[in-house]
Formats: sequence, C-alpha cells, structure tokens
Amino acid sequence: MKLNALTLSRLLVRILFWLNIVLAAAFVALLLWWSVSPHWIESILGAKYGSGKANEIRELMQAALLLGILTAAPVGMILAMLLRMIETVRAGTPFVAINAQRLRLMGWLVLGLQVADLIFSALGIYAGSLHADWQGSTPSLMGWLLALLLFVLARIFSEGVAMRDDLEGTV
Amino acid sequence: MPLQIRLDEQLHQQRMTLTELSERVGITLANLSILKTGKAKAIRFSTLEAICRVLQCQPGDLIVFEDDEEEGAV
Repeated sequence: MKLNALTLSRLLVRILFWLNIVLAAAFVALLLWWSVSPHWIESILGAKYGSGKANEIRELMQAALLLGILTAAPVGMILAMLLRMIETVRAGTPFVAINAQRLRLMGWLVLGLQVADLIFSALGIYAGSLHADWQGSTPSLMGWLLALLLFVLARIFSEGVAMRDDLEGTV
Repeated sequence: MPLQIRLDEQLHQQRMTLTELSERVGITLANLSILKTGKAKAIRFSTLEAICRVLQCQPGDLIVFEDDEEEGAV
C-alpha cells in the first residue's frame, strides 16, 4: 500500500491537537489542586529541598504550569489551522486566500510561542538559582526561522491564489 | 470588452452544436460555454488550434476586435 503523507499528517495533527487539549486540562487540574491544597506538594518539595524553599519552588512550578496552559491556546490554533489546510489540499483547492491568511496567523502565533519559550528559559534560570531539578529548554533559532518561513509561505500562497484566479478564466 | 468571440457564427456555418464541438475538441462543455459567452479571461493556443481545426476556420474568424469607444465617438 502506498503511504499517503497527507493522510498520515492529518492523523498525526489530530492526535497532537487532542493531546494538547488533554495536557492543558491536566495542567489546569494540577494548578487548581495545588492552589486549593498546597500542603501535599509542599510536603514533597520540603522533603527534597528543605521547607524553606518549598513554597518558592511550588510557585515556580505553578508559573510553569500557567505558561503551559497559556501556550496551549496558540498551539491548538496552529494545529487546527494546519488541519484545515490539509483538508483544502485533500479537496484539491489549496490555493485559496484563507490559506494565505492562515499561514500568516500561524507565523504570528509561532512568534508568540517563541516569546513564551524565552519566559520559560527565564524560569529555568530562576530554578537554577534555587538549585531545583528543572527540565529546562534552551532558546533555539529554529522557532524564529519557522515563523519567518511561515510569513514567506503566506506570501507565496497569496501569489499562488492570484495565479490560480488567473488560470480559472483560461479555456 | 472590445474582443468579441464569434463561436456561434462558426458553429452555425458548420451546422454543429456546442456539445458536438466539445466532444470533438476534447474541451468540457462548461469551458466552451465560458468562451462562447465572452466570460473567458484567456484562451490557450492549444484550445484555439483545436477549435480552428474542427471548425475549419482561422483564429480571426473566432476572435474579432471591435473598439466600442471609437465607434461611439464617430
């Protein structure tokens, strides 16, 4: 059977879309739980880092969770738009004005996510100063390049739409 | 538009219907209708060649330039 990249992409993006929602919901649940009763997590953190730091580290973890929840929205939007774009390719009409708009919006959303990544890195530096175990990330150039690529692709799509419109009246 | 498509006249001369022409030149009836009604933005040389071949005419018999503004001024 020939592997259809489009079908595979659609399946993968769908899985990621729902995974993003499930993770965001889990983050909300954790955040609510720790806000209502912080004793359990503080006792665990206190046992590991000492009771003096427990409160600070809990707040740091809550900030990271909040950031995760906030970034779930743009991630979800990007995945949803990607899914819609894949649908237009399947329908044989990818060069429509809405796809150019989608790509441009995706570019801005990726830029926003890059800013969130910087904030997350800052949280990592703060965690380092508290000597806390932290699964941090280092800011990478790829995300910024991706945003640039999306803006360029949006422009290419706009040109493609104009060319398709031209071709439509050709017999 | 100053460019007029004279497909109807040529079809009439050859005693041919648009459907028949569509079958013989291999262009969809929808596209030929667009051409006939003057709604086409452009015509491919291959389309023009095929129609001329079937209708045994010249491109000039199919497409005529009529400058409306100049006629109105006279």
